[in-house]
Order: sequence, then C-alpha cells, then structure tokens
Amino acid sequence: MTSPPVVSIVTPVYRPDLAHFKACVASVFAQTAEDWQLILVDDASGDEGLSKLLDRYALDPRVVVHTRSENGGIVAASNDALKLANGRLIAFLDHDDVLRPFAVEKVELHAAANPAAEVIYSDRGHIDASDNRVASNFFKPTWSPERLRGGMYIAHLTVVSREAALAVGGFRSEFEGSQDYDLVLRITERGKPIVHIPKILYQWRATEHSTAMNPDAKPYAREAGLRAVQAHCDRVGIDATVEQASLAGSYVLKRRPAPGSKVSIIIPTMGASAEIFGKPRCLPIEAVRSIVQHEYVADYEILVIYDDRGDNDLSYLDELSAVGNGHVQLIPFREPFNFSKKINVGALSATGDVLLLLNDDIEVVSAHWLDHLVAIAQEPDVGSVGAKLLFENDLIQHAGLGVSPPWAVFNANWKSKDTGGYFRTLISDHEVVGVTGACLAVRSDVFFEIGGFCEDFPGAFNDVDFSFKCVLAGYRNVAANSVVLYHFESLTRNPQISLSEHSGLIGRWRSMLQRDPYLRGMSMPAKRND
Amino acid sequence: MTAEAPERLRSAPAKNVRLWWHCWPLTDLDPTDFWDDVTVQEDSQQDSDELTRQSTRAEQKAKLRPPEVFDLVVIDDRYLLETRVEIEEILNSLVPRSNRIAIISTPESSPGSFGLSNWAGILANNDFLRAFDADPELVSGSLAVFEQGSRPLADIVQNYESALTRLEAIVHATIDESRKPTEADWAEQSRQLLAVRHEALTDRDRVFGLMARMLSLQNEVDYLRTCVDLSNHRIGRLTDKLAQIQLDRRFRIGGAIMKPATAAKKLARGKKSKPTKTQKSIDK
Repeated sequence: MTSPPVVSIVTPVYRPDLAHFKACVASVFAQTAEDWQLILVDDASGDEGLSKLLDRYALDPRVVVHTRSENGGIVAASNDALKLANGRLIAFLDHDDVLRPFAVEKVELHAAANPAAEVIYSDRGHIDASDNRVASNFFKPTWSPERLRGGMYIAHLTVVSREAALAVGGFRSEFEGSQDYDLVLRITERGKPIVHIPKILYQWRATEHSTAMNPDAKPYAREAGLRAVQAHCDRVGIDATVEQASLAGSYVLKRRPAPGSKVSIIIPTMGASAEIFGKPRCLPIEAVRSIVQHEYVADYEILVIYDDRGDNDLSYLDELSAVGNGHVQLIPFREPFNFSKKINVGALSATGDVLLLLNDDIEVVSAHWLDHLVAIAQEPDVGSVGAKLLFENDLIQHAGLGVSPPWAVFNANWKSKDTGGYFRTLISDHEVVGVTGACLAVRSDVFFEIGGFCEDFPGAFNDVDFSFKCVLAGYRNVAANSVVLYHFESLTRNPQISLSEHSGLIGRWRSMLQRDPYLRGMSMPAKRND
Repeated sequence: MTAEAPERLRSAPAKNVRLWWHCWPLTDLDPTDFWDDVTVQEDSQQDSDELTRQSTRAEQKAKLRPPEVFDLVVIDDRYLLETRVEIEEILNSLVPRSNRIAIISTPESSPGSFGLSNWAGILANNDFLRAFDADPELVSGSLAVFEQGSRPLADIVQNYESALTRLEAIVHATIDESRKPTEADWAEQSRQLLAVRHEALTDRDRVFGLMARMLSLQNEVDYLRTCVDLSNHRIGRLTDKLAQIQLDRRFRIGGAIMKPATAAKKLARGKKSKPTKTQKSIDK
C-alpha cells in the first residue's frame, strides 16, 4: 500500500473456533473495496493452529498481525490494534463474525459523503454456527442518542474515527465487556455527526456463549454497560440513576429534572364518567387524584380546561378542585368542540417552563413519571416526549408513533406490556417520529415556537401534526417507554375521523409519511388504531 | 314667584332657626326676601311641600315687619343678575342682620353666578370668614357658611391652608383613582392580550404548515428531477447504442439491400393514397 487505507478493520483474537475465524478473515478478503487494512491481535491464545493461520494471513501486505506475549483481555488487545491501525476509520470485527462483501465500500462511500462523521454504523444480520441466518435482522434507527443510553444498539457494524478514538483515550479496561459501548458513548459526546448506513453490512454469529444468542452469557458485560451509561450521564450532566431494564443488555434511566422546574399539566375535559376496572368513576377527578398522590421534584400546576356550554353538569368541578389539593386551576371553554384549541387555551394560561398535555382518561402507574418526562423534555434538542400507555387490560395502547405509509400509527398497539418489542424498543426510552397527545411533555418555548396545536385538526391527528412540527423545527421526539400510565382510550371521544382531518394531514405532511427513520423493519398495523 | 326651597337644610344645632332667605327668582328682577322661623330637625329631610308651605307663609310674613336679627342669612345667587356694586349694597343691608351668612352659589364658570370666591372677598371686607367646621355638603356642593368675627391672620391662613390641603388630597386621590383600571378593565385587557397571543400562536402554526407543504413539494420536485435525469441517461444510452448500430457495417449493408424494397413500398403507398376532403378544399 502506498497510501494509508480509509478503513482499518480491528479484530482482537482469542482462542476462536478456527472455522469461524477463517470465515471472518475470508469475508474481509472478499471485500469489493481493496484499500482496507486488517489488524489481527492474538491475545496470547497459545493455539498453534491459530498461529499458523495468522502467519499465512500476515503474508498479505494489507494484514498486520500482532501476538501479545501475555493475555491482557479484550481491552488490551483492542488498544494494541488501535495503535497499529493507520486508517482514518476503525471498524470493529469480532473474530467469529462476518462482513458482507460490500461493507467496506459502503463505509467509504458514506464517509466520503460525511467527512466530519466520527461514528458510522450499519444494520446487522444474525447467523448461526453453520452460517445459516437466524433470528430477525436488526434494521436500526437513524441516530438516536436516547436509544443509545438504553443499550448499545449501534454495535455490529461500528466504525469510528481513529483520531476521535485516540483523543478520548481508546478503550478502558474498567469497562471490559462493554468497552466498545463506553468508547462510542465518549466519542458521541464530542457532538460530531453520526451516520447510519441503512444496509446490513455485518453478520453477527450467534453461538451458545455469545451475547448474540444469549444476553445473559456475559453478566460482567451487563454490569460494565450499566457503569458506562452512568459515567456518560455524569459527564454530560444528565441527572439520572441508571438501572438494569427487564431484559439483559438494556438499561433504563430514572431522570430528575433541573432544580426549580415547574410543569403545567394541561387536562382538557368534558367531565365524563365511565366504568373502569369494574367501578364507575368520574374520569378527570380520578386522573387528578392519581397525579397528586405522588411526590415530585418538579413543582406543578394542573390546568383543567372544562367544557362550559351553559347546559352541562359542572358539579364535578368542586370535587375536582378539592382532590387537586391546591394545584388545580379551572379554565372554562365555551366554544364548539376543538381539542387543539383547548390545549392552546391551556398553554396560554400556563406558567410552567414545561407543558404536560394529559387526557382526562388516564391513570398514573409509574411514580416518577412526571419528573422523568419533564427531565427529558428539558434537553435542548428534544421536542415532544411521550410515555408508554396501557389499556385497561394491560395491553399496550401507545409506545410511540410510527409511520406506515400513508398513515401514522401507534407502535406496538395491543401487545403485552411486558414485551421487549423489536430489539428492546418497548422497555427503554428511544426516539420516534411522534407521540400521542394523551400524554405529551414539551418545553413551553418549543410549544410556542412551533405554533402549538393546529386548530384545523379539532379531533384527530393534532398530536401527529404537532410531533411532525417538532421534527421540522429540528427537535427529536422521545417515547419514554420506561414510564407507564393507563389510558382508557377512546372511552370519551368520538372514534370517527373526519375526511378533512385525514386529507389535511396528508396534504401537510406527505414527505413525513413516506418513511419512518426510527421504527424500520417492524410490522405495523395497516391503519392507525384510533 | 316662590323661591326654590332647599330639599334639605342642616343648620346650627338650634332647634328653631330664624332664617332670612334672600334669592333671585328666574323672571323677576326684584329679589325676593322672605323670612321665617324654620323648625329644623337634625338628620332629617325636610318635606319639600312643607318647606314650600313655609315659604308661602313667609311671603305673607314678608308684608309684616321683619325682625332685626337672624340666626342665619342665606343668600342664593343662582339666578343673580345684579352687578357687583348692587350686590355690595344688598350685602351691606344683610350683614347687620346676622353674624352667620350662608351663600348658595354655582361654580364660577356658570353664567349668572356671582361666584363663591367673589362673595368671600366681599364678606371678608365685612369681617366674615369661611367657617370650615360647618359641613354644608349635604345641602349643596356650592354652599359655604361664613361667620363674622376677627381672628389673627395666622389662624385665617392656617384654616385656608388646611382646607386647601384636604381638597388637594381629595383631588389627587380622585385623579389617581381615575387612572387605575377597574376590575372590568383588567379583565378586558387580559382577554385582549390572550386573543393577541392566541393569534400569534395560530400564525406560527400556519407558517409551519406552509413549511411542511414546501418540503413535500420540494421532495416531489427532487423525485421528478431524479426521474428526468434517469430518463435522460437512458435516452442517452439508447441514442449511443442506436448510433453504434447505424455505424455497424452489417446495418449499412442491410440498409442497402433493403433500399429498393423500401423505395418500392413508398411508391406503392404514394399511389394508393387519395387526397383528403380538406386537401381538396385547400387545393380549391
């Protein structure tokens, strides 16, 4: 090679299955691009067969082989590989995994189009010991910082800038098992572009002892991952406690809002009643009761926008105020039904720096829901934040909105509340195109910046429109699925969707309804389940 | 003409007041004087009919010789037409009748009124000074009571200054009060502000709506441009291919072989075709 390659592929090696290792190296030699470099670092495996193989590979000028004199673990071997690499980009390849033939070519293409990018990642497939495809392919979302905090979703194939990797100090031994996760978190904190290649470039081999097949295979890796995320939060100023999620390899952040935060909870209501869990209840009263029974870090006010048509029963308001314990402010609404206008009226009367729009047919489940949603909403690049909502029968009603052209739909509608969803989307927080207005937190300045709720959508799609406006304004929307509420959906609203609202949504947002950058590869219901 | 009787008169605490009433009726140039012993009860409102009857009796009494001295002389100048000189003469005749004179007047800007300050000036020349402890407000806003008696200048000035200070305070308080918006004003202003903010909010929403539509249209334009580029690329390739074919020796030979047949076909087509109606009419 006369000039340094663009991509250096680093592979720490330790006592691999030789057949799988040969397949791994063969996949590199089979690359359509020719200017790559392969760094193989044997971490003192003591395997003669392996040594012979390595000697043969070293004959190729593009391959650098280094054998450590003593076993130092994957972090030491990886750092050695990093020092030996001279490509601008470093791609991580495990010693038993396989690259697709066009992987390097695609990486070079995207790197050339995004010269400032410091992390590039691709979709991945899964193969078994016999090279058969197993499990679902993982079609990853576009760059999702919130999702990354919930788990190392960008693994395989991960490519980082060599300069950035060295600048942050390379791999760290105290995070052995999740050393790449820790490295990537530190690099992403530099704020440079992160690029996603929407193609499967990597096949992750699932064997008995690998985390591809069994996330519990390496418990030390899980614990290291948790510490890596906590360290990341501490570095970037996210006030949160990181905990293991219900599924291994995933994490949840229990966030706390900034000191002195105030949130205005806006509840539009008609004062309807319904039978819930076998008992009759006045919906807004019980919604408020479920809010005030918890303690929060953030200060809050509850603005109830109630219908006052002159002939409707308002007797529930007294009990509502009493239950609200001094937090409730009543605002009459005397115009024809328009949910969006009610929200806007509430927002114009609000004094909090965060608005939390809430339907009256909800009940709080997670005690820390308010603080968590407010804390996420307070991030400067976040638009709307939603929660996981359950039907009365504990099935999922909402876990973020997705796009199934030409509709905007509820993700994971009617699935069990305990399911992890498509690659853990349902148990940790992640980015989405939108969230439902039944529980939506947004900073007050963002709300007013984008013009609030569009009153041309009086009943349906106003939340979809609002979420899309957030995206258009450059914000990301987050489904905080670690937070749960009940939503006794559609008990009090007219399920009919007007033609004008539907055509209005398509007319405005045709470009957004073409594809979903976050929920790729998932099967969606054909129609929104309103 | 009967003088206009006051609706309510609050006088000295004495139960029976000997009252001299001097006023100018509307149409009669001669002033009408009447006197009467008026029984006044504190905090009561005199029945106007009763006072009118008293006035009528007073007129009758006027024909009798009036007494020399009165507890109170009331001068009502609301229909005054005399000049200042004549007023001075009248006052000179009234001054000896009582040491207390009440003036009912109108604001000095009103026509036909002599004005309280002018009265005060004339009365001062006769040692009558304003009695600030009398509260004639309930009778009339333009009634002032003057009492005769000599007082030190300092006391006189102090009395007037105190009254002036009280009045100024009342005026300032009234002005301040008039500047403060009322509850209704606040409510209306709040409603207007809310309406303006709401309009600004919906305007911003419309801007985003337009931006969204522009984005969709831009995407469609980009897509169409891509389609056009692809089509042009395809056309270019086909054109090149065609040119290559046409340059090919086999094509040229084949063309030469086919030429006579092609020419014959054209000739045959030419014989068979008849002129159309249009062509005939054009030819004509």
